[in-house]
Amino acid sequence: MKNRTSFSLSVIAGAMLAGTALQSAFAADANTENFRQEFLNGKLSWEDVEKRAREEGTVNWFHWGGSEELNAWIERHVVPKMKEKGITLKTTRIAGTREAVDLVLTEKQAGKGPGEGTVDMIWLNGDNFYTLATQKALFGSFADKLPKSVNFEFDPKVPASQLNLSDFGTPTEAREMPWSGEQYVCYFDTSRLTREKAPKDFAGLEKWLGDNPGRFTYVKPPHYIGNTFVQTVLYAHNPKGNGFKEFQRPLSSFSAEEFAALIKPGFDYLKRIEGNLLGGGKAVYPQNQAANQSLYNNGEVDFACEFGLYLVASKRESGAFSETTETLAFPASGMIKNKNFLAIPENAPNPAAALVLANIMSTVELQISKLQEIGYPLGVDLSKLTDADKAKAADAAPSHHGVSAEELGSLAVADTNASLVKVIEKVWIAYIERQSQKPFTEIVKDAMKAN
Amino acid sequence: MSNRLTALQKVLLSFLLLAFIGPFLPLALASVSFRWGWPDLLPSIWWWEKREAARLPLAWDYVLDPVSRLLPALQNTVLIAALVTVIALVLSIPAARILARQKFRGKNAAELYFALPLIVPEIATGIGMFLIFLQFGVQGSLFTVVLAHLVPILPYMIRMLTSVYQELDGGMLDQADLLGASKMQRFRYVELPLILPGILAASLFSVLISTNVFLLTFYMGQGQVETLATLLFAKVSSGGALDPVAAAFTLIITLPGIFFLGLTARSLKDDVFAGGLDKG
Repeated sequence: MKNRTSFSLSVIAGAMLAGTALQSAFAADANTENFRQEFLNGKLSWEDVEKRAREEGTVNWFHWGGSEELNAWIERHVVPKMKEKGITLKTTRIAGTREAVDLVLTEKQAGKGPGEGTVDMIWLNGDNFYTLATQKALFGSFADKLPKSVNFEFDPKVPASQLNLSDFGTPTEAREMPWSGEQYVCYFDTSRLTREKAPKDFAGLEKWLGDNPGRFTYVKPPHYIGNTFVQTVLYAHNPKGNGFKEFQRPLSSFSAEEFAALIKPGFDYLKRIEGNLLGGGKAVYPQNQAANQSLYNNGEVDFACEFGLYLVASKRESGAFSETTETLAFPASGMIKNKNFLAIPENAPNPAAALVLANIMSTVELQISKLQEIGYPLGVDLSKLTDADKAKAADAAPSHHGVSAEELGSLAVADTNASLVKVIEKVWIAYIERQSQKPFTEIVKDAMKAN
Repeated sequence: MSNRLTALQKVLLSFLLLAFIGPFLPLALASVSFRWGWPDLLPSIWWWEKREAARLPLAWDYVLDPVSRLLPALQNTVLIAALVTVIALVLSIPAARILARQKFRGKNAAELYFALPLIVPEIATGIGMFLIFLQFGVQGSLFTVVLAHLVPILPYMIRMLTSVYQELDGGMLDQADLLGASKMQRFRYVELPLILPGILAASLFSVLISTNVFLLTFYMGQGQVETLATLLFAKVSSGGALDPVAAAFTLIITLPGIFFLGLTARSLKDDVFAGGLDKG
């Protein structure tokens, strides 16, 4: 799910969706559709599901394949577990999650119904989930019907459930299973910058940039890493003073004027710091987190931000970061936290095997192994685990290097509603990148219209 | 004429060698590094220093581990390239023969038609074919990828072989006829040896194109057929630094091309022309 904006052709998918000429007459696979209905209506026991999964024999999981650590972990830990269940796990390593989403939608457009697609499971969150949800291309509300659902907080009365029930403001309705969690953090090299001198909030960053021009930049929106930075800035400069809360509202509840007033101070801040970002007056924005890491490793910037609670630990281990790299809790105004999920498409060819995979991924054993081996945070909720498992999870967690889990936890805030993200990125492109001279409200109006 | 190179020729030759081999040096170094950051001229920590301590395979350990899926991808790449080349030759030789030797109405139009795939962007071809195959319910497989690769390869193949045939002396073939050779004999013993260098050159092109085509492979394989090109793309498309694994993949992706280049260079050096006539 990491690389949400990929080269892969969302434009084309749009074109294909528009073309209805290809609506051919494939009848949905009746047997699979029957299974789907029965399972979703609670008529099947878990034994029935596992039996059918064995008959299906394979499951095709599409996931972002850019991390060797993750690929190796899946091969060594998940594949054998699925084998025990009599299922062959086939993973397709994609460059961007969008590719799998496009594949599902194209197939749906070509009339491939339940049981007739190629993709059984996708690792995703945010707008990719939103797209599948709005196109009605999801299998259904399965996540609360698996045996291991007990490891998740789904009770809306408990605050911790929010991360499971809402994915960038889109209600998950159990149509995806939480798999891992992430928090936006920054990292810096203690040999170049001391913790005392490192900025703590956005006012501090502005001042620090004045003293150290060119020593920081952020990933360019519309890449989600860049969007997240911008959202964090907007939270901190929210004129209503209620930070992230105002950004949970869907776009439809805002007038252009109201939304423009909400985000104007944040965008003015971005405009102010632009001259002091990397590039000597003409700001350079890296295209993605990997490019940003290169800038950091090559000493061109002193600190950088992206998602990754245990990023520093795993990058130090793989050699990508120096041993003097540490995590920075920035900004104090709130660091965005979210979860990422496993979703089953409506036309999954092996839905029962996909359900078994989702269940296995939610076991405490694999969740802790994932945390320990590759530093991917827990997707299950600690509050739902036994004391023994809680202790195990605490032992398994890699170090944050320089900050405590409590400090990071206390700064966590919710992600922005997915419908606002698109507008914010369009405003950034018009106001910051293209330096539009139009009145700010006009820019916001255009961005809302284009949505 | 002396066989010794002049000083200028030596300089030019070394420059050429540097241009060819130069880019491989940083790749080779990066592939065995653990950390290689600015401003270090050489990696500051090497891969083998950290190998033992690593929990998960690093650099070449990862590349050579089954988890990297290098071997199946290499097999697919070679198999696809071989199939595409054979099919393209079978289709192109008769077409080139007619285009070079015969005059007929609409010949120019036919030539333009054959060149069309070079003008239409690969992405348009890829999406179009993908949709058609989807409609017919054909799953992504090696076969669909081979079909897709033929699209960009056939125009080159036909072009190259047409010029080979144009340079072929028709008198040679007439002579074979006069001496009583059957059509098959004439093709097998006279025509084929004469065009063999051209066939090898065209095959080299075909292999190089096939191993490097990403978009068509990705689309027609529906993400299911992994080749070296798709493997490398998945690895490097996230951008940024050339990490050890990406560097190693890049080195390996050049292997089929280099191998085939060596092969054809050898065959072309042998005197295929005389050798062919001898057999007659």
